[in-house]
Amino acid sequence: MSGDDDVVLEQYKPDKTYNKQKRFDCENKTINKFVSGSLKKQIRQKLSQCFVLLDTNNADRFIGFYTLSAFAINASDLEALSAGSLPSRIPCSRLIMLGVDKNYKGRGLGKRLMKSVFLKTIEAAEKIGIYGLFLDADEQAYTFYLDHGFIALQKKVKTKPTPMFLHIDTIRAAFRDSA
Amino acid sequence: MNNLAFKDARMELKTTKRLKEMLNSAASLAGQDLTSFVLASAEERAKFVLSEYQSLSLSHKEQLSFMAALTKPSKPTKALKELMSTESLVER
Repeated sequence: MSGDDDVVLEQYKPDKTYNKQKRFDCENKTINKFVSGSLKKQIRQKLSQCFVLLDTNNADRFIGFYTLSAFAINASDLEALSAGSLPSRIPCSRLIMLGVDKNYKGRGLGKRLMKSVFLKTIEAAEKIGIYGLFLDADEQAYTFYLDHGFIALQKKVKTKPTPMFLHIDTIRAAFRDSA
Repeated sequence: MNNLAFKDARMELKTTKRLKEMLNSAASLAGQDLTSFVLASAEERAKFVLSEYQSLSLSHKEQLSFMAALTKPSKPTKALKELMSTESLVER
């Protein structure tokens, strides 16, 4: 795929109209609804930042995206437990949503978006100091994140997503090994 | 919500007769007028959604295992290394 990539990533601009954003279909109802209905508003309100994946061979069609925000894990006992070496609020980046259009599945784009999320997290850690990446994993995604080294912060239950965390040093080490 | 605060915004909501009646009954049971009842309930829910969006709180037991993970970061798994060696997306 190198050299002849026909996709490009761009920071989502809420005032721009994206080709087929409203038709985006990643086979997840909640995410589809979010992309067509709430994404623009959420970015305007600065509740998160979004990066979109565009198909440059198809008039920059909106084919994938992810949203990131700042997040904190409240662990009021940590400060005492660690004798002051850890704060009681652990700042993280949070992956809120990620999706690839069904017509573009099977090309490894989801993984490449995920890599981009990790790189942004490393960047954020360098600039403002964060401890890692947080996300709420759905039932179907849980094993994927577990395989990639995330730990469950709370016991996994059927009825709701599982909060998961990956340490910034683990992400950095994986990046170094791959370079 | 502070009831004495000057109300400088307005909300109009369309709903069904059935829901309005239900809200009315609940409001009078709670000893509130309909507006106070609806707004107070919505405010409580909004606070919850906002705090969930910004942070997560852990129990003492959960904090113990979180601390272990924080102080001893695990080595990257094979899957993570493979993912990190995929081609980076070009950003414009």
